[in-house]
Amino acid sequence: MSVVSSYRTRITLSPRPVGEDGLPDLTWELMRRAVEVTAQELGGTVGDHILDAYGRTFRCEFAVTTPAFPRGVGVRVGPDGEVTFVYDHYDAEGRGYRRAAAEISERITQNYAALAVARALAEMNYSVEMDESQEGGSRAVVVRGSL
Amino acid sequence: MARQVKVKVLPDGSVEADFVGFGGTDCLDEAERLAENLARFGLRADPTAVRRKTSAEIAKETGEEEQGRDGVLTRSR
Repeated sequence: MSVVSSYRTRITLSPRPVGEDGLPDLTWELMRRAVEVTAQELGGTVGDHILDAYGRTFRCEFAVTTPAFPRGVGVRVGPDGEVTFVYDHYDAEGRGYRRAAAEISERITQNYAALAVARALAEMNYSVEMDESQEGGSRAVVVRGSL
Repeated sequence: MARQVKVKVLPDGSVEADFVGFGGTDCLDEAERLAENLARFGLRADPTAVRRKTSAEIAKETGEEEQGRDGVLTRSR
């Protein structure tokens, strides 16, 4: 029997960025990488805070700032490892901030999921390749594992 | 045929996993293993749909030639 399985996913990091062994936690390292890749893809930078519409600073575990959304999208991790994206997309001047902020958070989610799939398949002894494709005008990341 | 898993990750983070070259229920076992490993890497994956591949899709993967006759698909060996 051959099947195609579809899954809804949810990112949950470990509660702490460093394990009891003192080494960086794997899920936090994946999130760091997903944030870096997202910033690189969108021509942005990685930081540790975002700004709101009044210029106030809000600290977060990770943040991505891009030319299209200079206030930035932050990643906050709750006590249970729950991931929340924070940003202020107030946009009275029609600069497209709502869409830009959504694109950053979607990219981080998509890149995290793709990196997690690649690591999981590698753990299962697959040789892994990653690629991109377009699905109905949207970007899809394709991860191929071969035994 | 070599076993492959092709996973498509969509913008909302949902994934579609295509298991190629698995016989019997092996693909279901592999899907379960994949979900378990994803959880270790911080990605909880809840199945939303499992679809059996059509004979045409399987034939395409295995490179077998399909011949249509009276609406019935047959495979050459």
